[in-house]
Amino acid sequence: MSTENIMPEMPVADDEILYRAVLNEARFFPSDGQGGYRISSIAFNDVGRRPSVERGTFCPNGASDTQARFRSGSGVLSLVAAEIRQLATTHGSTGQVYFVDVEPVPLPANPAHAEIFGRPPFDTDKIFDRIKQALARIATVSIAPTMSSPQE
Amino acid sequence: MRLTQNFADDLKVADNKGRVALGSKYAGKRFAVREEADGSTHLIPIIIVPEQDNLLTSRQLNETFAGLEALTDNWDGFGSPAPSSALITYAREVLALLQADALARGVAWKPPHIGSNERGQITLEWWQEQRTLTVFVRSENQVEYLKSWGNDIFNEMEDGELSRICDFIALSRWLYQEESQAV
Repeated sequence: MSTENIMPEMPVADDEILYRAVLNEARFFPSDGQGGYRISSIAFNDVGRRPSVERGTFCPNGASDTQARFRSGSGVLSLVAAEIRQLATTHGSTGQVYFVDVEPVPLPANPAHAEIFGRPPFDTDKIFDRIKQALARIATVSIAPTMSSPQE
Repeated sequence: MRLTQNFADDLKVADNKGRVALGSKYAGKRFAVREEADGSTHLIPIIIVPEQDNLLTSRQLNETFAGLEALTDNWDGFGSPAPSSALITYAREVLALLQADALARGVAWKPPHIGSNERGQITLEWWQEQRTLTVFVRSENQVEYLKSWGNDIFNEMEDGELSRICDFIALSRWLYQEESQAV
């Protein structure tokens, strides 16, 4: 897909693929005991509680573009925007509706940059822990890391 | 073991072989006998940790946490601080307690996946099919858990404080129970 006519500020479409690069170490990708990987919730660590992703629309070579922008050998997770938005839910006792969304936050050096955020914002550790857990559940491994030991 | 108010009603008498019947609620439990200088004898409930395949040694614990000790700030590329030495020490003690009690009670034990979050808190994660259990060692005064069995952050996840070891035993039983019986 050509990106020439797509503005980085354009909203993220529901069918858009999003990539998340994570370091190539077992701390993020524990073995599932069957030759595959689990995805740890810490793969979505973010100090500002707005995990960064890259928009597939701006990655003509797919996940490998994201890997190239991060670090050599990194793993790359992928998510679908609609599945992130479907994490919206209502708190059973308070009735508070929590929306989860993704919006473009283009950077000068990286027009693909976007961020996952909450409405209301993920303002407590407990809420963000749950969001990270849900993100880990819906993410898939697009590029397996060139694994190094967690002790390194 | 709790001493009752009316000692006379609960006096136990040893038979001619030194045996004392404590009642069915103490069945299967083990006690250490401590004789005091004043002639009284105390029975102290104890837990025997079976030596199975899951050896609990200081060396093993050190190796388990060695990776965390080597972390520096922004170790993950997402700006997360490294966990403090004090918190790592505390997490090591927490893990040792959880493992010892799980083994003593015959509850399944698998080593957790150990990590750290964006607050420098230490995470212990277990997976079993669709169920996930995460223990957060947030500080030396706060250990919490999050269990999840689906993506819905309110209806398929539950969190709480881990203030007693028996809380963890209940969580372990939930984690390893048959899928059809899970919450």
